[in-house]
Amino acid sequence: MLFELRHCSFSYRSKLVLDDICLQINAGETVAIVGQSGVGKSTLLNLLASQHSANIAYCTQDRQLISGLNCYNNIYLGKLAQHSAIKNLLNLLRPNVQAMREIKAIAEQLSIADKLQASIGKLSGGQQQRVAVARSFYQQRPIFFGDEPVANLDSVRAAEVLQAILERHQTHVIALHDRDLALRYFDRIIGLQQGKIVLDVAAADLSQQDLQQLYL
Amino acid sequence: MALFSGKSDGLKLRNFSLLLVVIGLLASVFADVKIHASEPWAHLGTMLQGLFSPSTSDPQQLAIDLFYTLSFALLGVSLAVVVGLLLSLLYRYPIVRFCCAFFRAIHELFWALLFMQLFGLSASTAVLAIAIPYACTFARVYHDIYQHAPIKLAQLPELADSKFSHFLYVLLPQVWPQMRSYLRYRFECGVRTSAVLGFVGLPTIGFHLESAFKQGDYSYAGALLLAFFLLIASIKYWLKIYLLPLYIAIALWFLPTSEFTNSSDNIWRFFSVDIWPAVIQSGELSVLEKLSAYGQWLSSLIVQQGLPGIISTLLLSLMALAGTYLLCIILAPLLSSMRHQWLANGIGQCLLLVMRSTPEYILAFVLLLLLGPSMLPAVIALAIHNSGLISYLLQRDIDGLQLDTQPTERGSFGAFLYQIMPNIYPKFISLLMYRAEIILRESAILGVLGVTTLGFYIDSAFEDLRFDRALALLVITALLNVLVDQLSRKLQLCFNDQGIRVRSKD
Repeated sequence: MLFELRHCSFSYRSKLVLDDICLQINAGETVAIVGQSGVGKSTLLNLLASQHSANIAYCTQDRQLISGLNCYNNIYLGKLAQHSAIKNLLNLLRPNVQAMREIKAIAEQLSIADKLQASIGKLSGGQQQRVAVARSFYQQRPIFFGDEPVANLDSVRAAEVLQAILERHQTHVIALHDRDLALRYFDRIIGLQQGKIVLDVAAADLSQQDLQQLYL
Repeated sequence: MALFSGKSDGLKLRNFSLLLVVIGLLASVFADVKIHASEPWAHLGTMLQGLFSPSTSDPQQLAIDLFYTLSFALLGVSLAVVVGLLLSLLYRYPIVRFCCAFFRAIHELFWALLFMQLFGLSASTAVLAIAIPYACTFARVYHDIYQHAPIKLAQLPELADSKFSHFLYVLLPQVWPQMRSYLRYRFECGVRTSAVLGFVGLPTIGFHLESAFKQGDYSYAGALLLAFFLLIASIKYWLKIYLLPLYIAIALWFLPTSEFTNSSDNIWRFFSVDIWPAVIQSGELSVLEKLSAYGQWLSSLIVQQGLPGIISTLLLSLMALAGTYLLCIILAPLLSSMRHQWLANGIGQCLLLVMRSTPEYILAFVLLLLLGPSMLPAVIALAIHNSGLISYLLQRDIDGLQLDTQPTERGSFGAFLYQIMPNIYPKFISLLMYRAEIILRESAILGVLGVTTLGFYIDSAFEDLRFDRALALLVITALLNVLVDQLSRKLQLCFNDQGIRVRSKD
């Protein structure tokens, strides 16, 4: 078992965000967390992520892109702690050849290879989102955590990016709104309502109508 | 701050403003603010006539003065920004914080007086006098800027262990525009400081400005001032970060040479003997006896010079603060009403540029010539410079206000009182409190011109080659400044929960 929460509750500014959560996630699972905005999906992801942070590539909702850096360096940031300070400094002056090769391959898969030298501010919302995903790919970790990692993409591009995420990692825990994507690409779906888990079943046993109930 | 607790914001601000003016008026009762000159108006007329008909018989000398003024500023600020950047990364340590506050509290002119004993009237003295306090200011301001970086990158918690990389990739790219803008502003301050360094004999524009005023050659003084204002106003057009290496190389190549030489023995003697009182250098006394003798020497110095200097410095600062407040209150509606007529607006902006660009020291020097030796010239000089700067910053805020009023009514006094004033007043008081520390710092230095603030006693000690006294009084001045800085920061927070970020504009 990789992640486990037992009767876990969480409050923020005296407001109960998660209420008596019991949850287990095994290695190799592909889990979607669904529910309305504000039901506690991000908080649940953060709680789980704290259990294995060193092995998780975490693509957060706010993207955490650095405006003063170009696209390449924003992706390179994913492995900053693994390189020496001198290597990082030199990379700012002239991109490291090996890092550039790896990042270019990732960028090509996500269709942003032509934007590597562009500054983040000049990219569209969708392109910025793919840069954030690329950064987590570059970290090369076995577990992927994503908080709405494809929310800003059109349906075709979202499916492509989600497919790439699934291919590159062994275990996936992703919060998302798109019910169709949740049913198509995930093995297990956890539904949240008012901070409680109200649904935790295999995706194959669910239909669009079942998920619709969570959004009423 | 109990005086203001439990009251509404408006009441707090009103009470504080009244208190500020009343204390300023009370201070003037105890201070010498008389006009000692016999015909100040006639003298002013002659002076203005000369200033408004600028001319110089030696344009080459003027160009050299400007070049040295710029070179010292450029090298001093460049050195300061490198050291300040390193210190800003260590600023979270209390010892670094205290050292920066302490060294920053000593005015550039005092540093110049100190370094002159070691390096004479040389470029090293000028550059170090600017670089040391400025490095400490950069450290504080850059540290403040880092605190406001929008992204802390919680996504990569392991970066906490690689601080240098975190600084390079996360912090610096986010705050670089603010840091660059502050560097530009500080360079402007550096040019002003460099000019003032001429008053203690360094070869900058201030040196000839002082001579011109003293000799009554007001046309030449006018030419120097005009060139100085044009230099300040043009900075934004030619100061480009990518050109800095070229500028630095040129400044270094053409630096003035000094014939002053000092042996390493003399420098060592200065630090090991000259700056310590003779009473503790006697080899016959035990450590305890030395401490006791030092205590007596220090207490006698404090009673005879320290306390009178502190009282005068505080009196001058309080009067200058009240004067700044009153001048701002007069200027704000005036400038606001002029804002919508292009000619009047242009005149108003020029006036603000002259007020904020002219260093307090030069203003005080000119006013002393006009009004005679008392605290009045210093009060007026501090009030003019500081109100010019505060009004300039407030104007930018007023321009950014979204008002309901019709454009035609925006210049009216009613709109100013009911829409503009309530919006800008808290910021105005915060700015005023922020300037309190700088006013105190300047009040101390104006003693060099003869006003009996702490600077007067320090300057006299340097002239008498009593470096032990000079150093002890410098420490007292710095500690007083640190104390007032802490108090003014607390007052800023009292009126503005967030503090103000204008502290980067000193």
